[in-house]
Amino acid sequence: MQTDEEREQFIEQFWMRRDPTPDTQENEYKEEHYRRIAYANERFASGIPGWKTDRGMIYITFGPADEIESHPSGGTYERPYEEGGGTTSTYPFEKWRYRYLQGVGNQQDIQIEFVDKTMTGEYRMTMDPSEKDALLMVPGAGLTMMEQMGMASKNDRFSRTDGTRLGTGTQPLPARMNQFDRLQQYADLQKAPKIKFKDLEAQVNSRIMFNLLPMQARADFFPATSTTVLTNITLRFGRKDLQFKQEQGMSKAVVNIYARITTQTRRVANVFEEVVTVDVPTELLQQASQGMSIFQKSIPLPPGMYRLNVVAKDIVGGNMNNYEMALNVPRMEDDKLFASSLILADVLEDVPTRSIGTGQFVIGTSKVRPRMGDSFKRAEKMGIYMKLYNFEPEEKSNKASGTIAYEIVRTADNSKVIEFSEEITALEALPPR
Amino acid sequence: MILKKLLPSPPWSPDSTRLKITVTDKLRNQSLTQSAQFSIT
Repeated sequence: MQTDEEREQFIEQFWMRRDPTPDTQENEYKEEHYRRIAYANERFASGIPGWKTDRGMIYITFGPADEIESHPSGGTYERPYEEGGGTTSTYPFEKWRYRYLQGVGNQQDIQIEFVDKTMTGEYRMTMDPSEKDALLMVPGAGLTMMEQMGMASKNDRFSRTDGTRLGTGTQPLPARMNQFDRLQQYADLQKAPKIKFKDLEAQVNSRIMFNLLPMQARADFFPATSTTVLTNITLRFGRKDLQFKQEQGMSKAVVNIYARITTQTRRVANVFEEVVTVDVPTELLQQASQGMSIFQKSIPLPPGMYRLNVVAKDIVGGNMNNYEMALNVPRMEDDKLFASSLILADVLEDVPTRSIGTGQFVIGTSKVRPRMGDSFKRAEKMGIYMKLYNFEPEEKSNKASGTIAYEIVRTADNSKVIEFSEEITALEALPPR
Repeated sequence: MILKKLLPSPPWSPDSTRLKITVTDKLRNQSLTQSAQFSIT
């Protein structure tokens, strides 16, 4: 991951994958994770933050234990038979029991011991039950029953091959004390949990479309700041595809629009709903039905990749469409020359002062209606609109210096049809940000 | 800066064409190009 944007996206995806309810704003998994970290820091800190300790790691990964046997001061300890029996003295230790842990050892009745051998409050996880024995290295002290009766020697503890230094007891070790099972459990407790790709599961769906309402969509981008880009989404419907109903000499078509913009991780960034109506005098309907109806919505978005889903429904005829497109909202860097989308417009005019910055197709002080389909008739004028950012001003005059070169090329043979240039001083200045 | 221009009726025959605009900032010594495809019918 090279950029902060990629890193942020990874973190967002990381949590989204684990969200048990991806459709809601809350991510219960993430909230519980941070609650556990806070709890671990409060309860297990010991010179190092609680989340870095062994108890903190187990608590954050598996949650609270079903049962905790705590010996915060250590002291006299009656050994259970599987540890050899007898009495000894211990360091502070805790034994945590989980009834069930998926993917850990044999999954049932998991017991984990933490021992504070340094008496500093930092309990270390151990797989040797004799680790807590404070008298282990003291000759003749803390003997097991067999050792007390002279039927075993304490020296034998140090030649065991099962990874423990337990004394010989009256009964053999139980099956769950098997050295390989203990090793497996110790490793399982520290491995990363499996990821469940809930978002991929959601992709497996089917979509059957019928009675389609033809629709075209385009998006244009105008940075407002380095972190916000005004994204103009323009939709076009052919009137011939709409159904009109007649009312008192007027013909009326109604299209309901629902649009949703989501991030790559399917987090909803914006939703809008609009009702588009087309009113035409009935006697002019045939002529009007040759034209198009255009709708535009302006949405502020942070730079990044998004998915736009638009569902449009013709209320009179019942036809629908579900249109999907990617929105690659560009990031403007403050120290580089930057341009907005280039719009070829069929309407390009100044708006009255009261309408500045408001309404459909208005960008600042201009009305700019993009020509959907980018096809112009010979008799039409073609408007060109584009915003340019970050020109360097001269120190003395505080004015920028540069040129704009225009070139129109015939696609078929790459021949130049028009070519001219002008100084940027001929352009209108952007309002200060 | 706002580039806002109305191009008059095209003096060329109906065809598919491409508009290319190259902007140069002399002081920064930087330039960029934006283009758009369109057709005349």
